[in-house]
Amino acid sequence: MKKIYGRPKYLKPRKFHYCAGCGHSLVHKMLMELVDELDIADRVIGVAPAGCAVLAYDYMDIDIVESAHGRGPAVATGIKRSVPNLVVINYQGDGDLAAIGTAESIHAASRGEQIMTVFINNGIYGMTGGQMAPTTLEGMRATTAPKGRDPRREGYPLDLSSLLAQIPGVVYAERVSVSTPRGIRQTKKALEAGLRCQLDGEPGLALIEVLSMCPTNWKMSPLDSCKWMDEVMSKKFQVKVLVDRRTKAIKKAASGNVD
Amino acid sequence: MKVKGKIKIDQEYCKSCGFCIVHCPKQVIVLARIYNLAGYYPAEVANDDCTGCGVCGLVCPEACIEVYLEQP
Amino acid sequence: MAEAAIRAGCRFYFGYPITPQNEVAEYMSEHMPEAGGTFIQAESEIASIYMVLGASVTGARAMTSSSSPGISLKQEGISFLAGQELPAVILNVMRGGPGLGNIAGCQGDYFQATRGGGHGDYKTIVLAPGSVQELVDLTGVAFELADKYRNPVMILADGLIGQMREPVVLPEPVKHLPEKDWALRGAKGRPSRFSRSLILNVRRMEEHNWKLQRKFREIEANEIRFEQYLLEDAKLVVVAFGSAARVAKGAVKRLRKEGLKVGLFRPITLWPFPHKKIRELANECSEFLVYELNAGQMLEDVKLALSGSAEVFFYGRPGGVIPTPMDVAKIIGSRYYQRIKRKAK
Repeated sequence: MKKIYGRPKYLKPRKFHYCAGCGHSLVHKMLMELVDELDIADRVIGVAPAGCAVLAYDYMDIDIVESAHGRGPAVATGIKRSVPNLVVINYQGDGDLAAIGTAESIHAASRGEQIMTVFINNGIYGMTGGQMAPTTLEGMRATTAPKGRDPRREGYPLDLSSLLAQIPGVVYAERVSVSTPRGIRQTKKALEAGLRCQLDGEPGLALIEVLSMCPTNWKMSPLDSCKWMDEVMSKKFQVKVLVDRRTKAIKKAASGNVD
Repeated sequence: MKVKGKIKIDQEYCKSCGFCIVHCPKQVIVLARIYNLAGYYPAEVANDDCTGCGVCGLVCPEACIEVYLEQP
Repeated sequence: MAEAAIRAGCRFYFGYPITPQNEVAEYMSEHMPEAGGTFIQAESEIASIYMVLGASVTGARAMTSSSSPGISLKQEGISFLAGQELPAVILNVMRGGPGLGNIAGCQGDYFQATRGGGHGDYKTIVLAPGSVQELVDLTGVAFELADKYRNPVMILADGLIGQMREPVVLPEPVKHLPEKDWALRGAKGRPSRFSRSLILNVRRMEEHNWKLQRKFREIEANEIRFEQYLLEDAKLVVVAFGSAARVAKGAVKRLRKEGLKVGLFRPITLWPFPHKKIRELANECSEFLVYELNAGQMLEDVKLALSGSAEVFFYGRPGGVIPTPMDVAKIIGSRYYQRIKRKAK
């Protein structure tokens, strides 16, 4: 019998520390599948965020540098400018990208840095124990919003990806979700498109926002969190291509490869 | 002819999230009755209806499912 | 300084405007691209220090510059650089403080620079130039030390040196940069690497800390620099650094002409601080006068070094006031007459 699916080559043989049903490991897995498929293991470099994915170097068998909370885009800028032929994956969470690192995110985009930002949005601060995030939905409970987020008190959820998509320096921005097999397949396509922006020399930043489950801090079972994401979260954060400014010829070639 | 597939689950890696179980079109996977070292009841193969579609592997967050397909 | 950095092989400059050091960034924006390097005006001091971190992790020579309030913002990144053992050069052109303070020359950041500055147990090598020429010379030294020890190096200048114009002799451009077998440039033909400062295992974290400390002891043993001026027969030693030392030198010269046996000791490395040398000086001389453009910061290091073996008098002017050599000579002179002439009688 022929093996048609298994653990990707560049995922280290180590058990993930993530909770059951967490979206991080799915994204890790897909990124490492793509590193293998696109054959870029010798020139890819990851920027790990502060947060649950800080231990990404324990799993991904590629060069990885850890960054402080919110500073990923700045570190990635330094790397990419220093060695332009590297493929830089800047991995961030919602608090990281949309709160403490807002300035870094926006300005890396406005400079059109040729990096890919993978933005894991689970609407909550996972590692610190379920505090309210900028992306926490209205009415959603968090340990620092025990009565649920009320816009009059805690403000509105922030859709930073849509803001970033308006910046000309962003060549590709897509929001995807990993709650269903279909969503997972689409996520992989989106991540591939994002990586290809760098391989094709597209002049700007690729942003892939992944809506991801955090069953532990949502206080749901893994299966309920997938359901909640489909029914509630993706209503506010709609899954779609937010912007596509890739140059036409390349766009065509890429879509040929992707589909 | 029926397409024949097979899956292998690394039960020590499994955290019983249940994604593979609900997405399997042939209901091949169930939770085991014996827990693993981490205290989870891992997924296990219950029958030989597998068609090797690979959905279980795709949705597995722990990357602990290998899918095999019989070559025609 | 900027040209010296380029000649020292620095190819990456990331900064954010702040007076009184904007000339560095302006020069870099024009000349760094000519040298094949990269200049970015970042969105904040915080972003600029992390861009330095990013360039440094690939093995490149990178630097940033700022002034006191901006350096406070960079401290987070400097702590990360130290924790991840990455080389970098940071120029601090100190200004008056606290808060926004003013843009005059001041030495109020001595503690922040020499004690590590950010969170955690670490040190940055601190070099304090006394003239524009020395600033140029120490720039090359800073890049060498940063690479040698894989540690951030801070050049602690002040508004006075930052705004001074003097003729300088520039060094020859560095031709060969050291190989860095730890740099991350894609795992080509080797196992993958990572650079981190998060170590959750407390024992390993302790071991990492001790490793850093062993490195710091090594730096303390090898890299101390200082200047001695007319100390042979001095009855009173003036201790000062940076541009304060330059003013003090003028004062010492003036007093020598009047026959007063005074000398100047100028630490060039503020960390590692020349404790041992100052202790030795106390064998010959029992009167010290510390002069700083702050309310007494290096004073503590001098007192620690002497540990009670000599009298220490302090004269300081915080807030950006820069006394003339004449003013300082008056202070030194009156102290000299009080302590030494009176004793002689």
